Amino acid sequence: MLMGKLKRHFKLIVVVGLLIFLHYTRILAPVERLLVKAGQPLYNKFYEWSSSSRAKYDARVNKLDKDARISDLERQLSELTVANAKLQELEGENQKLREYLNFFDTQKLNYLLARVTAQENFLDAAKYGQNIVINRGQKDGVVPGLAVINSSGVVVGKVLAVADNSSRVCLLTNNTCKLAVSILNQNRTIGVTEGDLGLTVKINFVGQTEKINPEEIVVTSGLETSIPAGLVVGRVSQIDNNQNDVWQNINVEPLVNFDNLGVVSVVLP
Amino acid sequence: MKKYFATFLYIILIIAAVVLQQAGLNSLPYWFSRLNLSLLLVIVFLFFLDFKKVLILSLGLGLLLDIFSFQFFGAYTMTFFVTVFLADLLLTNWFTNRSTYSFLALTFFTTLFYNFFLYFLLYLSNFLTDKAFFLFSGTFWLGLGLELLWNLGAVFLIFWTMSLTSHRLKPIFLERR
Repeated sequence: MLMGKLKRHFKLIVVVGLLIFLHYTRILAPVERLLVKAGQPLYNKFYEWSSSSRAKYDARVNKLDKDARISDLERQLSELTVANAKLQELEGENQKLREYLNFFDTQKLNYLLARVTAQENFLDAAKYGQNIVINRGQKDGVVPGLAVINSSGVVVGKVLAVADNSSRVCLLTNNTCKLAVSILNQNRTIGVTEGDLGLTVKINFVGQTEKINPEEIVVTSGLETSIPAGLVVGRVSQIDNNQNDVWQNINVEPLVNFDNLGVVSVVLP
Repeated sequence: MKKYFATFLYIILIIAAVVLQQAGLNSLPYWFSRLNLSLLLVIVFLFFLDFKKVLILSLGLGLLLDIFSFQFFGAYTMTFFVTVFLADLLLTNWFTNRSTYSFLALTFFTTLFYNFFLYFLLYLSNFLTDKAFFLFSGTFWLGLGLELLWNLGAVFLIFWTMSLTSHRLKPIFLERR
């Protein structure tokens, strides 16, 4: 009976096979491009609605923690004010030194603004929300491996794959999203970040001899040719240095709210 | 004229389901994101349209999902194709009466089969990078359970709404006379 049905719809099977074949030979590419381009405004609208609903839901869930969060933020604010004053002093000093040495500013990065159009969702809860889709692709100069940052310049993730008009970006919390980073401690320890169960970020390959303290800032190391050094990734939250292990386990708290990404920037090389 | 209008309506429904699924539902908090709208649409189509039409519509649905997603091209198309064949087989051999129970049972089996088939294809395509087989992951089963719950709930609701307005379906609960 099943064979009979398959035989009766053989033409349809051939058409589907042909369409898949035409996709891989890129003959279908113009049609796909047109569809993606035409669909993007709709995707933007739905994504906006959906992410705002999620933000409202999260806000309701986190309401109980609000008081503790406020006092924590107040403490952080006072610490940051002190750090900011120090940095301003250092910036002034740095400016003078640059003038003396006739340096030019090397941190002028090329950004490409992009809108988040969708979030990839898998049945596996551990893989939920670890990739996003943005509305910039190969045609805009995006290539796999570029860093993606939010409006404050904090790294959100990395471009995984590109299509003509869209790209797939893995978020830092994704297990397969790896980034060469450096910890801003005395030795400028380098390592590789990796997502941990879609919730947090850990740094691998840091030797036991390295001295790392909680709250130290983690930035990109510049060891990846397409990602400039110095982009903020997060803050060290927990260090597990069991002497029997070869490497230390370092947890990093990302400084981005991954649930609230509307517009991001791709850092071009 | 009516035929063209119906075709147009089906196309709009398919596009709306794909966009709402990928840009809307997928970004909701995890507990609410597991409703599989595309599959629900196919199940509802199966009850009201002939097999050939359902097959064409589900292939259109699969192709659109493939175009807009970054999974390997053809994964959704193939999954929908095979799922529709299986669903039709169940519908013509076992769930022949148009009752809630057959509706729910069909949803249950197609949801299970759709996910096993799709995730098996995705596992094969990511064979070198995926560390663990998806069936050994507890979170996969949790997601599947949630999806079943949402889909069955939605189908029950659809059936109940339709039974209020149409006499083509059997009542939800049988009445004793």
